[in-house]
Amino acid sequence: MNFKWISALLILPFLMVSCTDEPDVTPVVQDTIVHSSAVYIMNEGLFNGNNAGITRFTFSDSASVADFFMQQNGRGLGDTGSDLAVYGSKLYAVVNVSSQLEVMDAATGISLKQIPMFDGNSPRQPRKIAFYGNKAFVCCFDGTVAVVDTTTLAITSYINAGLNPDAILSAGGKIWVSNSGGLNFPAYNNTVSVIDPVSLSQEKEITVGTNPFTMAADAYGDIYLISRGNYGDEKSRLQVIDMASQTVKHTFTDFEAINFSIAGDSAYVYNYDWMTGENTLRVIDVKTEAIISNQFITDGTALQTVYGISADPVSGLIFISDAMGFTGNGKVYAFTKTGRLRYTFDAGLNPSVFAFLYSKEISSH
Amino acid sequence: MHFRFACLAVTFGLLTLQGFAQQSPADTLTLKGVEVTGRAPSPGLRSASPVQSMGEMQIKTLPGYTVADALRMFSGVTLRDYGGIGGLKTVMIRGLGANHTSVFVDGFPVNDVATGQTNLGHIPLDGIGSVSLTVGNAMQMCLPARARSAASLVEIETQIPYTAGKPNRYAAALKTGSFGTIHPSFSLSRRAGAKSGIGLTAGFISTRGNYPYTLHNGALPDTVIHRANGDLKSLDLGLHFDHMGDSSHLKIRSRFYTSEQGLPGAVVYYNPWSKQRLYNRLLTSGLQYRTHRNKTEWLTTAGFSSGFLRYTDPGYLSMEGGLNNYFNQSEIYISQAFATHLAAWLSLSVASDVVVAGLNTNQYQTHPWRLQSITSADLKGSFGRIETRFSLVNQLSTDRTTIQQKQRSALSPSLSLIVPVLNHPLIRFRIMAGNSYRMPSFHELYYNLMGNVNLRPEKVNQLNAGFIGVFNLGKFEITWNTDAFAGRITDKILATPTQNLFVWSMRNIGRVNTSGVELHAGIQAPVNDRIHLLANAGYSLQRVTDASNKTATTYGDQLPYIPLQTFSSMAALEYRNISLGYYTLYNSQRYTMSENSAGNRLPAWWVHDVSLSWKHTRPAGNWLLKADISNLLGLQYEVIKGFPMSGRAFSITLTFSNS
Repeated sequence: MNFKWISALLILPFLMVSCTDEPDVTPVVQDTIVHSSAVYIMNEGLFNGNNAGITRFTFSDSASVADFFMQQNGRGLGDTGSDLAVYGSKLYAVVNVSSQLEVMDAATGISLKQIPMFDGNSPRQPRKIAFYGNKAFVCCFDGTVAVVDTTTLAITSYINAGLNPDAILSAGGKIWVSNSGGLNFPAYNNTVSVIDPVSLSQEKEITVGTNPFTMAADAYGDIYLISRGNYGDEKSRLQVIDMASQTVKHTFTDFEAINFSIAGDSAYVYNYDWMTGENTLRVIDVKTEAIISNQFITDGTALQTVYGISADPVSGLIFISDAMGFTGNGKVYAFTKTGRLRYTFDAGLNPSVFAFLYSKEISSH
Repeated sequence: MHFRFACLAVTFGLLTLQGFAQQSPADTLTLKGVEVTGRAPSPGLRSASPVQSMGEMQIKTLPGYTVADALRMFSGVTLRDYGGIGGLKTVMIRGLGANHTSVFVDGFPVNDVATGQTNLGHIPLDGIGSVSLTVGNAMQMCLPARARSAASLVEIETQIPYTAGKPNRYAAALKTGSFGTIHPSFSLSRRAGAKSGIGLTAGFISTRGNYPYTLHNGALPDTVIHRANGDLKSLDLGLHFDHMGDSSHLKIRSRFYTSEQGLPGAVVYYNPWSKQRLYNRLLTSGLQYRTHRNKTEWLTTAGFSSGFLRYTDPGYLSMEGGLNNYFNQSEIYISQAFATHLAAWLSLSVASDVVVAGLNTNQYQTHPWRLQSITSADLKGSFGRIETRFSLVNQLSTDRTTIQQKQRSALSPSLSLIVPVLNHPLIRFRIMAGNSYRMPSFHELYYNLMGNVNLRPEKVNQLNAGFIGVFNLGKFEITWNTDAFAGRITDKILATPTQNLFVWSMRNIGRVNTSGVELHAGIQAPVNDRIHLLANAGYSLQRVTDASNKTATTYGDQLPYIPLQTFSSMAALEYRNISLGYYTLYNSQRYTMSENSAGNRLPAWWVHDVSLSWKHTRPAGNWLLKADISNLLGLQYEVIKGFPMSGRAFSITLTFSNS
C-alpha cells in the first residue's frame, strides 16, 4: 500500500530497481521519466459485508471505475480489504476477513492468483504488505509474516513476529512489523519487530508506544510511526524511530494522529476527532521534525471523515479519502502540496489505501 | 417459554374467565385481553390501542419451532432473524428497536438486562396457547407496571390443561424435520384437589442446522453450500402449579433452559470457517396471585431469573488463543398492581414494580447493578360505548457500579379514546397518543470500549388513529381495521466509530421519524358442525426514516432492515379431524445500512408455509399427526445480510395425549 510503495520508492536507488518487470538486484544505471498514470483505491467495505473493492482512477482522462476488481474479474474481492500496493508489474490486495492475498496484473487489474492465507482451517487474517527484492511480506493478525515469492506467487515461509501485527514496512534493508496486540484489549502490545529479509527471521523486537500501527520511512534514516494508544488515557501519537539505533527518538505529544503519509521532506498527518467530527491535517518537515502547518487545507475544502491519506511523490499530489458516514460510497480528494483542491472523485465503501500506477519512459544512454 | 404442552385443552384464559364469571359486572374490568380460545373474537376490537392476537387454532397449524414464527405474522412486525433454529430472533415493532418491546409469558416478564432485547428463538412454539401484540398501552387494567413501560407489549400464554376431564393428563410428542432436527417433548399434569393442579413439561431440541443455500458471487457460477456450525441442542424443563379459588388465582411457573449451539457467522467470500459457540443457561421462577374482592382486583407478581451465557471463539487471534466471554445476569422483581372502580363510569389502576438486576462479565471493566422502580397509574372512563384512558408511567433507574452511581428517570403519559361511529355494522374510531422510554442496556453502557456510561434513555412518541369494525355475513364474522400511525424516536442510542472502524461507541445521537398505515382483515366461521374456517390478512406500510442530521447523506433514508411494505396472511381450516394451515409472508426490499443506495439493497422476499394435521381419537387418548412444509417454494432469501435463511424444510410431528 501507499507507505510501503513510497518507502519502496525511497529505497529504489539502493536496490537499483527499474523497468516494469520484477525488481532486479543487478545494478543498472538508467534515466527514467516516471509519471503517474492511475491510482488504485482500496475500499475496505464493511466487516461481514463481502463488499471490499478496488476503485481505479485514470489521470489522463479522469475516468474512475468504482468497482474495478468486480468489473475485471467478475467476482467480489472479498470481505474487508486492508491493503493495496503496486510492486513491479503486479497489484497486490490484502483481504483481511476473507484471509486472501489477491495478486493482479497492475495494468489491467486481472487476477493472476488468489492466495489463501490459512493455518489449517484458521484464517490468519492478513493485514498489510511490504516488499523486498523478489519477496512480498504480508503481516497477519495471527502473529506471523507470510513470505511470498513475487514471481511464483507461492508462500515460501512464515516468520514469527509479535502480537497482532497491524503494519509492515520495508526500509533500510529491514522489514519492520508493528505488533499492535489490538485483539488483546486492554493489554495492547508496544513493539516493532525487526526482520531480516534475507535470513527471513526476526532479529529484534524494539519497544515503541502502545498499540503501534502505520509506519513510513523518510530519507533521513527515520521511521515515522503511529502508536494508537489505548483509546482511553493514552492518546494516539506520531513517533519517530531512529533506524540505526532502533530506538524511538521522538514522540510528538502536542497533537493526536491517526494516520499519515510521507513524500519528500513532508509528512502529511491527519487526525479525526470522532467525538467532535473534526478533521485536522498537519504538515511536518521530516528533516527538522518540526510542524510546518496545522492547517494543510488552505482553500476551505471541507471534509467529513478523513479515512486515508497518501502523498504521491511523482505527481506531487496529496490524496485524501473521505469515508463520509461509513455506510455508502466515499470520496477521494486530490490536493496540491499547498493544500488546494485539484479535483475529487467517487470511490467505494470506506476508501482507505492508495496505490499508484506509474508509467516509465526509459531513456537509454 | 416457560411451559410446553402438546395436548390441546382449555386455555388459561378460559380458566380465568370461569373464575371470574361468578363475579359482579365489575369483572369486565378484569377480563384479560387474551383470547379465550382460538375461536373467540379478537379482544382487540374493543381496544383503543392496536392489538393483534393469534389463538390456539392458528398456532397449532403454524409450522416452525419458536414463538418468533408466530409473531412475524403480525402487521408492523419486522423480525430480525439470523436464520436456523438457533439464530437470534428479535422483533422490531413499527420501526422501533427490539428494546422498545416488552415480553411477558404467562404474566411474567422476560427480560435481558445485557441487551435489553428478548431472543424469541429461545421460546419454543409448542405448548403456546396464544400470542398477542399491543402497540401502546395494554387494554387490561390490572397489570404489572413493567408491562406498560415499553412502546409495545408481547404477551404469550401457554396452555394449562388441568381442569376438566381426567385428573392425570399426559402428552408425548416427537417432532422430526429437515437438517437433522429432532424434538421430543413430554408433559404431565395432575389435578390436586378440586381447585389445584400441578404439572411438568420437558422438551429437547437437537438440530444440525446445516441447511443448503446458494452462494452468489459476481459472474461466478452459483454454488450450493451448506451452512456450517449451525447446530443446536437445547433442553427445556418447566414446572407449574395453579390454585383457583372462587375469586383468586395463584400460579407458580418455573423454567430451566439450557442450550449449546454453534454460530454459523456471516457468509464470507473465500473463508467458510466459523468456530464460534454459544452456551446458554437460564433458570426462572415466578409466583403470581390475582384476587378480587368487591370491586377491586389485586395482582401480586414476584420472581427471579438467573442467566448464564458463554460465547467462545477459538479463531479470535488474541494472546489467550481465543475468546471466552461470559455473562452472568440475575434479576429479582416484585410487582403489586390493583384496579378498582371509583364510580360506575370510572376505573383506576395503579401498579408499582421494583426490579433489581445485576451482571457479571469479563467484558466490562465494572460490575453493574440496576435498581429500577416503575410505577404506573391508569384511569379509564366509560361513557356508554365510549371509552377513554389516561395513563402515566414513571421509571426511576439507578445504576451502581464499582466506580460510580447514575440515576435516570422518565415520565411517560399516554391518552387514548375509542368511540363507536356506526352501530350496524359496528365501526369504532380509536385514537392513541403515547410516550415511552427505554433505559440503555448494560451492553450499551458498560461494554468494553463500546459502552458509554453517560447515555440517556431513548424516547419514543407514538400516535395512532384508525377504524375498527366487525360485521356478520351469514355465518361469517368479518373483522377489519385500518390504522394510521406516526412516531418519533429521539435520543436514539446509536453506535458510531470512535477510534477506527473497529472501535465503536454508543451515543444518544439518533432521531427517527416513523409513519405508516396498517390494514387488517379477518374472517372466521363455523361453517357447520364439522368445518371451521379462520383466515386473515394484514398489510403494513411503514416509513421509518433517519432524521438525525440534516446535512448527512442518510437524512430521510429508510432505516436499515425495515421494509417499507409487509404483507402477511394466514388461513386455518378445520374439517372433522383434519386441520389445514397456510401462511404467507412478504417483506419488501430493505437496506442493510442507513444509506439507501443500490449497493446496500437487500431484495424483497415471499415465503409460504403449509401444514396438515390429522387427529385420531381412541378410547385411550388422541393421536395427532402433523406435517409441515416451511418455505414451500424454496426461496433463497436473507433477512440479515450475510445470513441466508433456510430453503424448503419439512417436519413431521406425532403426538399422543391421554385426553
